[in-house]
Amino acid sequence: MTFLSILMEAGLAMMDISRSIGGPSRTVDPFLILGLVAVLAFIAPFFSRALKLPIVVGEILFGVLVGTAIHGLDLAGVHIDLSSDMLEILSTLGFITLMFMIGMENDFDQLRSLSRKEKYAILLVISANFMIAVVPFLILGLPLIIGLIIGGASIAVVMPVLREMGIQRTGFGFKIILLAQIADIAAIFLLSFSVASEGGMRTVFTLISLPVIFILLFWFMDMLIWYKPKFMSKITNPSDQSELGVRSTLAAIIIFYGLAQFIGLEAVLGAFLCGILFSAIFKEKGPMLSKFMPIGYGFLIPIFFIYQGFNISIIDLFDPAALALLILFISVQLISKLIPIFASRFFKHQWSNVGGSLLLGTNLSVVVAGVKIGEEAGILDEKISGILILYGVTSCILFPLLFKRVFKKHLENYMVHEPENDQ
Amino acid sequence: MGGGSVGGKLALDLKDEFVLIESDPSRVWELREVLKDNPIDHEIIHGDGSSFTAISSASGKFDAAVILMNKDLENLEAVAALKKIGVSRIIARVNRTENMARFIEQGAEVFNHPIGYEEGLIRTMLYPDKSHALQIFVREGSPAIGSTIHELGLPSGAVIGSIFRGERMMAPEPSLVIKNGDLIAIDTVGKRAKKIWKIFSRSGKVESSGHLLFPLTRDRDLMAIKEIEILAKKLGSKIVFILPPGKEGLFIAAQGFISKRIPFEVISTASEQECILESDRRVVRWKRLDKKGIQMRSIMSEHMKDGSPHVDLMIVSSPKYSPFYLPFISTNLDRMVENAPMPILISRCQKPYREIIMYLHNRSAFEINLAIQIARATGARITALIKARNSKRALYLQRFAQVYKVKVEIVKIVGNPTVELIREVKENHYDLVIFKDGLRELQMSQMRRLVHQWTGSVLVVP
Repeated sequence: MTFLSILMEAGLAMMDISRSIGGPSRTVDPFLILGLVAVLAFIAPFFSRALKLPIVVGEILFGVLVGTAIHGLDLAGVHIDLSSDMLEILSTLGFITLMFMIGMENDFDQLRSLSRKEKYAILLVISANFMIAVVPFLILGLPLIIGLIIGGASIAVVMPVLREMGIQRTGFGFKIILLAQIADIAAIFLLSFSVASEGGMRTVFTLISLPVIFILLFWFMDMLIWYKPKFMSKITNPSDQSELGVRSTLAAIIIFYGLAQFIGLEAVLGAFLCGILFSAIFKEKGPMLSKFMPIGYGFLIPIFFIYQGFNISIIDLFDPAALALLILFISVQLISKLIPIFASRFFKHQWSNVGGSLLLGTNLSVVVAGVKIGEEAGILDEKISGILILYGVTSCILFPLLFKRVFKKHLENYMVHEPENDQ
Repeated sequence: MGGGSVGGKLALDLKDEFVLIESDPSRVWELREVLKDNPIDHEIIHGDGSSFTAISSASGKFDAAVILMNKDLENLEAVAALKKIGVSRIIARVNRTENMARFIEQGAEVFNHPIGYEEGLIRTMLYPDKSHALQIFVREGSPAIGSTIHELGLPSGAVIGSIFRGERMMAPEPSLVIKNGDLIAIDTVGKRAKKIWKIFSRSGKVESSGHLLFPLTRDRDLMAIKEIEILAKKLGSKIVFILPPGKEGLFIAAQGFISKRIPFEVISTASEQECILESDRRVVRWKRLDKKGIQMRSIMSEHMKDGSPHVDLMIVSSPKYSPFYLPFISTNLDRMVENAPMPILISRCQKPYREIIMYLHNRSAFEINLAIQIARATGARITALIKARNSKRALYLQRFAQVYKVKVEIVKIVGNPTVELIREVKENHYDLVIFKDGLRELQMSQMRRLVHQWTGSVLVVP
């Protein structure tokens, strides 16, 4: 469909909408929605950069703005339905790609350079964080999954903030990246298991089969590199004209997605595991990611975030109960990080403990994944999902800002005294 | 090219016919006067050394050229002109360190200016002698750490050619402070190597050789004895046998395989009389330890603490081949390799190395030192795999290879380093593969497979 015909379709749609005020809802052509999403995805980076926000926050905010506008029109009697099967598939693909990318970003080798004491400290902080995050929601009778979502952290936001401040290679940066990574992974695993736990014995089977399958696949890939290095070289070579790397990665993601569903896990966990497996097996991920990133971050993932935002309306927040929930989420998030970090004196200085807790408060990928998992399992309704997404967006705006404020005061002093940690 | 003070002194020392090109007419006259009694045939021409006309006007065919002008641009032009007329060896002075890469790219052998005693360095480069060119990796514990080059008190005639630190090639200025991990190229014009080793070694021992630690724990270890003997002979190293209790019989068997010229030390719980035949007394030192003392790790640590700049290796025999090797399960060898404070060689090669392969990463220094020293001793060629972002390391390797006359081939890889290294190792014949343990860019399960399943020797650097 040409651009001109899309414009004509848009004009016709608007005429129909104006005619159908107060009447039945009007379904918009999927290509028109895709066009809208594409334009928003194009503008989002400029908008985010201007406001110094992570790009994903900009994408969700645009989606939320559209969602709010549609809700507003709905209240005025103009019904527009932006749901589409095609967008649904693209959005799911975007989500799968996002989970794969998150998995790929993990680097467990960093754990090797830690002492046993530091490893225990990390384990303690992460466990305490989830426990503290879960308790208030269980007391309030809310689903456990909300606590698990709140206990997460987003490495995808933490990393750019640290990089922007030039402290990602300091002792502080290294530790916080590790914490964020582990909290991120743990949250996604816990979310999947909490949903799968409905299955009783099946959950036990899942719990056993997951590490076994992972090790078998790792072994298989490892053998492939050893016995068929020429073939693997073609796959990992970014200059290969047939783009075998992209094709094989895509195929692997979809296979893992199906495999996870087969063993009764959240399907997205499959894509996530695929990312972890690729990260563990290939180490140097640059050449593979360089080919896959444009498809992911340039096409599929923005569709997912913007389309996700379409279902959320800020108007819902005018409800005092919703606002209270949002404040509760943010407070629990902060407290669940502050208490274990302070109790274990995880970082050297008091102010770096505060700073670390604030930065670990950023939580978007886990929120988005958790909402999707919760909705599909029928545990979360649309309203709570919306509030959770808004909480995720707020956390990504609020906590990095506060972190920068706390940290900037001490940054100069800190950089002088903290040696580079290139481990 | 360039008949300044260095050029003039060098002209007096040259052993072959030469042509000297100098742009200053009064200096040309002066040099003609100084060199009129020189028995070596020579010609002194007035002209611009960087111009092709002046260079091509010099009659004859040249085997080597030395460029000593004071501007890098002129020197670079001279290198290009000399390449055009087919001069195979070009030694050039680099006045600014940052220009060094451009010279190396054009195929010139280089040295930094000013370093003092340049003529000695050039003479060493022109007439290389193994005992003259030293490469020193400054290890923890070396007393040289913290001293400036001036304070080192190098013997006269010894010149620091270059220092590689982190990712930078440093100009060897007298005020530069030596740091742990520096890789230093030193050229000497006499047999002063022993004094230099002493400066860099904590124990202050005047030793000119490294140590090859060889634990004899099982019969299979005797399979490595041939490779140890070759290395000890070529590197001029001493073999240190480590004998756990009850393995003295193995040592008696091992002695039969070792040439009488190779010195060795023994670390054992038994006494010398129990293991050495009266007719075969070649032991330099017998160190007797109690049973608790025979701990590989502590012996290695103790050895490394010395800060000696020599090549010290622990050599172990290869494990039994198993087609069903599981990289998830750590064996004793894996644990030893992971925790070893010194390089470990897994022996599988029974003849001198011809082809060595290594992966160059952005912090390679110790590996380069080891590879160059082993290749220099055995005459092997080094193939270095490198990602484009680490190309500075390749320049450094090339620079050292030029000085020490080691053949190096740089292979730039675009894909995954682990996959490319395995592919290269499997597709071509290599006798030795060198890699750094725990390197993020390399998949350790594949590196473990190299240790356990490959057919050649593997050197794992900590």
